[in-house]
Amino acid sequence: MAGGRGPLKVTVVRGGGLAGLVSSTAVDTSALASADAAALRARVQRASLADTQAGAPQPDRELVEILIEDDDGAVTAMNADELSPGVRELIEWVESAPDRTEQLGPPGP
Amino acid sequence: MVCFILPTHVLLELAERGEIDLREAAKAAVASAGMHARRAAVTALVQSLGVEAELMPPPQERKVVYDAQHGVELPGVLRRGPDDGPHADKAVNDAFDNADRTYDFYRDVLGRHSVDGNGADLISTVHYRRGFDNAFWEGTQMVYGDGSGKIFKVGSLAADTSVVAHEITHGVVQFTAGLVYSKQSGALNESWADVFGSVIKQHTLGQTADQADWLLGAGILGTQLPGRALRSMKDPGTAHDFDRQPAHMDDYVDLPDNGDPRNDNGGVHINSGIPNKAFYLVATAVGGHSWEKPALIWYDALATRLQRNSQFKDAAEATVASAKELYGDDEAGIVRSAWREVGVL
Ligand SMILES: [Zn+2]
Repeated sequence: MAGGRGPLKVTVVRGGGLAGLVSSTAVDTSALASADAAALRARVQRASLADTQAGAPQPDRELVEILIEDDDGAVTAMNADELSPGVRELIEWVESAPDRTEQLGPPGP
Repeated sequence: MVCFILPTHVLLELAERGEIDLREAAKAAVASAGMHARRAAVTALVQSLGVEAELMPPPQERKVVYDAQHGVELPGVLRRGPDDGPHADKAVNDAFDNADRTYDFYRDVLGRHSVDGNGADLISTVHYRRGFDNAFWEGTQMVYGDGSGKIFKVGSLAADTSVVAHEITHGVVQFTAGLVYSKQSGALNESWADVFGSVIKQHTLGQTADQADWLLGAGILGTQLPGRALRSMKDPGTAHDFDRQPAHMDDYVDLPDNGDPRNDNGGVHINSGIPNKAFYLVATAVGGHSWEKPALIWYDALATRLQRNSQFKDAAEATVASAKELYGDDEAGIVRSAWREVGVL
């Protein structure tokens, strides 16, 4: 996954929380400078999404989803608030990346 | 101390049959009796058994604040202990002072010592992660991000009395009804946290129900979330641009609870607008201070009637029953009308 040269898109969706709103941040290698695109690919490879798991819900705790899309398909890790360092690093990178897109809205479809 | 997780009457029976140590049983029974009234009743019971128990003194109020130093480890580094004066960091003092107001309210108005009813330390952690736009109850403590300025103003979460009282009330709910954080029971959990968040702010300001703004988190929103507050109990759905809270069952938003962050544990922060509005209607119909009859009714229902899987209708019936028992038919009628007005009864 994410080892190829094709476009790679990573989306981090946060929901729940005290406000109950949904915020999502996305980066796409096709919109990134090549050094940034390489940095993103490296972080995706280091993040072992298999480690993420849903804990028992806690009041106002955020729920986090990471969506990784590339030529091979899409992988989703749900409810990954308490994450391995690699996943956390990926999320932090995406949420502060240059050329990221951000959206905020209410929950629901 | 030995910790017996058994109802008081079971403990006392065991003690009477000589199966456990009388002294330990009496201590455990008294310790587990949270409210003042229950403590008194249990003390009388213990004394009627002729047990020479050393009754526990009332718990001491203890608040502590830690600093996560922008990391994720909890609780972090201790910044202010129970007997310490103010710290140089405003966030530390904000979390401490608002926990203090909330502790005092629960003790003085409701006769409850801390979240567990037995004086548990009120533990807060500030500076969780970097620019983190959230505050939550982690199961044993409160956690506050600084806010990024986009969703919440920087430094606003721990500084807002209604937000802090909301989070601490999640702790109280956990130790009382234990409302499951999903769909209607989760929305009730949210609503009770909003109710006491607002009531405790009103108590701090000395406001009557008519004077209060009935807002949660007034003035704390950042630049990407235009609005005046997080939620409005008076007018659910009007607090900010993305506020979709209903005020009536006709507009209930039925979301699945499937772990998807888009669904908010089955809409717990959305549908709480319905029971929130019911409390607002009760408080304004009763008049005067919301922390008198209305809050006592809501607290009694939470502590003695609501259960893990209670739904909106159960909450309506519980508060009507509490109103009738505590005050009589007039108050019960007001509570019933409020739940009818929001379409629950
Ligand atoms: Zn909450």
